[in-house]
Amino acid sequence: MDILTEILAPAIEEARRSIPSAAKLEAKADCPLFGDGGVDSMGLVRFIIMVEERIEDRTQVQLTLASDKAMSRKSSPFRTVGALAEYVTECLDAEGYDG
Amino acid sequence: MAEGVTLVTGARKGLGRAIAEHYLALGHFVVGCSRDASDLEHPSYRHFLADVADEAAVKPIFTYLRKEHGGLDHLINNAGIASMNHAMLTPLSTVDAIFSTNVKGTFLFCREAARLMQKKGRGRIVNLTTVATPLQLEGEAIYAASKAAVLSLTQVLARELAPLGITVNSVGPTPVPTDLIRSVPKAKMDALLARQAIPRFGEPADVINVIDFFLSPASDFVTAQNIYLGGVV
Ligand SMILES: NC(=O)c1ccc[n+]([C@@H]2O[C@H](COP(=O)([O-])OP(=O)(O)OC[C@H]3O[C@@H](n4cnc5c(N)ncnc54)[C@H](OP(=O)(O)O)[C@@H]3O)[C@@H](O)[C@H]2O)c1
Repeated sequence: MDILTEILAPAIEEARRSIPSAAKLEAKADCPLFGDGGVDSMGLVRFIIMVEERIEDRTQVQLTLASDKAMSRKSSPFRTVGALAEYVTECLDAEGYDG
Repeated sequence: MAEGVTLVTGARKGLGRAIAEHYLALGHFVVGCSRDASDLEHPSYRHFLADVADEAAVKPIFTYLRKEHGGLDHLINNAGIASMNHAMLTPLSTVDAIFSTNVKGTFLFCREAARLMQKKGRGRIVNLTTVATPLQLEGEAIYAASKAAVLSLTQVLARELAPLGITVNSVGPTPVPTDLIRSVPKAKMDALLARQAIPRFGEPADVINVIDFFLSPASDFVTAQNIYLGGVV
């Protein structure tokens, strides 16, 4: 499954409609997600919930994306849309999902 | 579903049962849970078998709410357990059990409920505290401490969730005659009641009255509050 187009793109569409700071978010790998040019911290929390729900609906896997592991990485998985896509793929792999 | 969807934990018996029946009578769709099966039957009631501290058992309740009801309006975090014992005789297994149900369970339901409620930009969460905390009841160290944690959770979550239109409050009953307090000796209970400004047992209706106030749409400026019954401060 292509995470960027199948999970993040529809989540971004939903976020643009309902999260004020997400108006400029785009389903492009280099689009900033959090911080400069991206969403604010409450926007990120709400966006992560949207992504987790879409992953659950698509794969039946319940991921916790904002884990201590994710938060303590030197290079944040939430810095760009592409970084998040890679991180989701990694988490799904770790859960043994191979769809 | 004008009256909304209300989730009551620990709805099988005691206060939780009375709360569930009250909101059913008011026309809410009520979702309840407990570890044992419930005999409450109503077209607007759905019961889940779940230990509130068991994440794997709890998640399906919220998936159901999201898919079948499009969200959640009210959460009453009622499930709770107590244990009366001298601190020097209290096993750690009791500490684990009480903190699991009262603190972990309350947090888990707050977390999952808030995730649903934030989408609509509104929601009401009511937690259950107890007068055992301010009265510093001997023999209830772990129970009182667990509910002090619930009070603290209520206050911090109220701030975290305020920007999302969700209020978080709590109600602290005095003793209400349910199974929870059945094993407390009479002399102990009389001494306890005597410390209240109004020295009588509480009724489920006393607790429900406060919950009604917190759930009221007009209470959207009321959050982080805890109301003790019976004149305990
Ligand atoms: N009664 C009082 O005097 C009093 C005073 C102050 C505060 N409170 C608070 O009010 C709340 C309700 O107490 P109550 O008097 O109604 O107690 P109760 O009669 O003992 O009922 C407790 C309810 O919670 C459920 N429950 C317990 N542990 C659970 C768990 N781990 N997961 C899911 N459900 C669980 C029980 O069902 P299962 O056994 O089937 O799980 C039952 O439905 C508690 O939070 C309590 O601390 C009560």
